[in-house]
Amino acid sequence: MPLLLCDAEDAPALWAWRHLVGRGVALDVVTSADLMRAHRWEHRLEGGTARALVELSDGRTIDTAEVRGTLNRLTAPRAELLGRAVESDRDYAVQEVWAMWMSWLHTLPEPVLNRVTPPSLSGPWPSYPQWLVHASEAGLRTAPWAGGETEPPRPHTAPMLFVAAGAVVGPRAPASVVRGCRALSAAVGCALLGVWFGPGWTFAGATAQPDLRRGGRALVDVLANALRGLE
Amino acid sequence: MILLCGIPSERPLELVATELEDRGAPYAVLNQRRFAECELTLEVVAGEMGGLLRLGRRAVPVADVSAAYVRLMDDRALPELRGVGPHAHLRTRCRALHEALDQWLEVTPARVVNRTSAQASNGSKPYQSQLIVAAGLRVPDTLITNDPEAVLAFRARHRRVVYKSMSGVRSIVRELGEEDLPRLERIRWCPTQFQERVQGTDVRVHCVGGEAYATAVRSSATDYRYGHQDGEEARLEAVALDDDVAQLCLRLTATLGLELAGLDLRMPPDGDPYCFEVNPSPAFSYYEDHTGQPVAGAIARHLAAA
Repeated sequence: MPLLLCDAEDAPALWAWRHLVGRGVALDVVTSADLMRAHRWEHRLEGGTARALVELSDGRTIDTAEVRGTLNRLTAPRAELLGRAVESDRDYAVQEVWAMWMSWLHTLPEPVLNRVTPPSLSGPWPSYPQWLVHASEAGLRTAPWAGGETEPPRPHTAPMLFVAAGAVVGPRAPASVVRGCRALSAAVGCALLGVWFGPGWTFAGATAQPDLRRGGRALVDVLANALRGLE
Repeated sequence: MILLCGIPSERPLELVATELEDRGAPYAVLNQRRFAECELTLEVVAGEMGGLLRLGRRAVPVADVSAAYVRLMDDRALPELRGVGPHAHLRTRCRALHEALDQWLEVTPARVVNRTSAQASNGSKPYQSQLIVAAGLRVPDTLITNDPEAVLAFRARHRRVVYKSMSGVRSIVRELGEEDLPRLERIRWCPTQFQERVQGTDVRVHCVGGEAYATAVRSSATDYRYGHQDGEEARLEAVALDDDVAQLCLRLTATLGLELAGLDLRMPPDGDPYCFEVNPSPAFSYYEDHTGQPVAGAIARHLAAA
């Protein structure tokens, strides 16, 4: 059973879901609200083995032992979905749920795009200057940055390359840029990565939560293969 | 140049500063409580992060920093910000300093004890437990659930069970007793972590720079950190670890990307130790003050060797 974990409002994820189902990858959509309202959680670490069983309120069950491929776009538990938690307990409860999700996500078998990267639930979130350092180390061209500057604008027409399980998808780019994107994905431990570029294929930012719609059918094909474990 | 970040009067930082002074190692202190006198301006040129750190009248190019010991408290809770509004300039400036500091510490080639990213596994105890197991140490059987029936079955199997927080929020470990059962239904609203209670002696192991210092803690309290609240004073004693256990602790520390760690072990009368947790910002001074174990000296050596 492959999974799509996302917020109910995550339009790019739901777009990918529709097209992946069309490619025969029957992703089961589980939203953060579904997880918050789950009827039953049972997450065990016994004898050195971790396993989890989640019974959702709509009757579906997620057994980590039976999951085969996950597209993970979870961001954070929502405090407003915490049922009866009183105000004074709410922050604590959110942190507890966050910690549980982090552990649960870690038990999901490969392939997972993206794996939990504490404190983020779905891939790393470096700041822009940190991305610049990583991108440069990966061999991508970067522009100078001075503290206090905002990130460069990223018009909708700015080229964006996607890395998904080692494959690079997007507009035609120089081989060195493709290699750099692949190296950046590996360096930050982010299997699904969106990389923006400015003029002259200068690195302009990256995200673990790219707008998948911009990757079009080519990205869906790569995701389908990755989620089936066919890299 | 070694940079110490935190509150200088706080005991761990104070001990490390004293050790650095004794060694004649040059160091500077970013006093968190004097954030208003500090400024960090960063730049990235050709993929390298540089910049200048102003500490009062002193200016330190970040490229000159070879190592940093970071023991920052949550800046939002600094006494200097008490009563200061969420959007006030002072608070914004304080946050900006801490953000810039974190951005730099995450990517500097300097030795950082410890980077925020390496500390993050401690934000989820069960997640960290899975990493502990992967590194070769064992953890107590654990159940996280919102199902009271599952808890009762778990308790019936293990006989003695404790409950504790999963997140980085500190909680007092408590044994699940008969008096708790009437309120067990409350877990339906928020899954809770339960663990088998394992018998044995608590041992805190501080790992730094390839060295491991073990301290046995003898207390009858379920959570010795809070035993004094119940009139249970803990007795601390330096002990020697088996080589293989010490190596596992050092390996786990390295696996988590930590330069310094405080591992909480429990040694059963027979069998391998259990590891409850890896603390990435340990208050080692409590153990050092009771036993004389030279942890601060080891940290200072590790910083100076960078």
